[in-house]
Amino acid sequence: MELPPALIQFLGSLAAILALAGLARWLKLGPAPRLADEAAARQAADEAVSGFVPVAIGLDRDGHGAVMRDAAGRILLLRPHGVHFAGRLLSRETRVRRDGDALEIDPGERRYGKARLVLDDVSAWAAAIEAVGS
Amino acid sequence: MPDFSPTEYAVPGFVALVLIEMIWAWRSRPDAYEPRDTLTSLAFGLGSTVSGLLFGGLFFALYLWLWDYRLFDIGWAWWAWIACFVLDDLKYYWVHRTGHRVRWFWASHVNHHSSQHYNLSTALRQTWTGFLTLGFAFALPLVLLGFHPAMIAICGGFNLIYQFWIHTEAIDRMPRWFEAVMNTPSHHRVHHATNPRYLDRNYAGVFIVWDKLFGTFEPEVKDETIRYGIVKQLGSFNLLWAVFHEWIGIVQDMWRAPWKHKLSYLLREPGWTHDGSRETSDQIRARWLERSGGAEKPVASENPIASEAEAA
Repeated sequence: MELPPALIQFLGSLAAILALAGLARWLKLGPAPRLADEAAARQAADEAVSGFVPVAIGLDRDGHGAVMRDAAGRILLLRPHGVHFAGRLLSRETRVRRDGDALEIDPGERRYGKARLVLDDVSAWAAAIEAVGS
Repeated sequence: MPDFSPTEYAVPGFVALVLIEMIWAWRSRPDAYEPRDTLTSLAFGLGSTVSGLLFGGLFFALYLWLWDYRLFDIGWAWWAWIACFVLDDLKYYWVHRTGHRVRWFWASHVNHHSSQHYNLSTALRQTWTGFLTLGFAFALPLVLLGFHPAMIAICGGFNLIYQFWIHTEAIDRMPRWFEAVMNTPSHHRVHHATNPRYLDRNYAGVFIVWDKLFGTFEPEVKDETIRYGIVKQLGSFNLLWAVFHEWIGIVQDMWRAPWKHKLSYLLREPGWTHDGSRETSDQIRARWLERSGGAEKPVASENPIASEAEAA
């Protein structure tokens, strides 16, 4: 059976992109991001929503994300996305579930998914998130 | 009529250069690549070639038909190639600018910007849905002038190849004379940035002079870390979501909006809403300037062309 040239080209390109992505994985490129302290969280917040200045910060104990509240009462969730963080301002669609010291936060956006943060003041943050939009 | 596609010949070079950049990342910048992001970007590239095969022929046939009504017989002389390349790059500037300023076009072009990385794999992150926009219409003046559609396609191919190498953080600055005339990694990093200072700037393909001419040039500032991607980062590596999310957003916004605002969600700039619930790039920049007390002044705001109309 002879394959059409366009199909051969497609399969060759597919093999090449799989090989390159595999190589990136093998080289261990793309380290997980970490918010080292509140200053890093502030900077990441401004990067996610320009001008977002937190007045309260709930930083995950391992730096794997944060929830932050600004003076206007908006709550911003930051969770890792590859090497970087992706943020969402929480709305009334948000669902929050407490699991010991951890909060599972679901902003209600299927593709963005949920975030699990281990926080010091988990009850206060759970209440604050539940109050969004109410 | 020459039957030649420069980008097809360039593919092995693209792969080799991505490989070299990955080794650079491994040695000095492991965060410059992320395997899932790389896979998504490269899958975009592969899908766009399929989309081009399926729909590109239709536009080429339209150009050939229109070429019969050309104003001049330009032919295939050497100077015609140079003129075509320069004019095609001018066309690219405007189609690209429209791609950022009209949400209908942005829905397609956003694919190229939705990675939070800026590396050579990002260059291959090309749209699948360009045929759903009116981007093809920007080439019609060239066809009507008399440039053969094959010449335009070949020049466009070389334009795309040029733009590949500028998608990198591995190169800081080129020589001053080169930075003054040509699009470079530094200029194009600005274009991919979401920092308010940089939003909707540097639309050039090959020659940065178009941005300087039309008031959309912004130089890269040394001490400001660039963050890449889009204003609302996807937060997902799902390929199909990455391809279609803005189209879906347009449909949802138009469905929910009052009748008199529906079309604006298609034709106005990305981020525009009738109730002010989201922000356009101009609004984000204006708020940032306000916060910084006017101390920060984007270069383009000093340009009279930019200040008269849109901030681009």
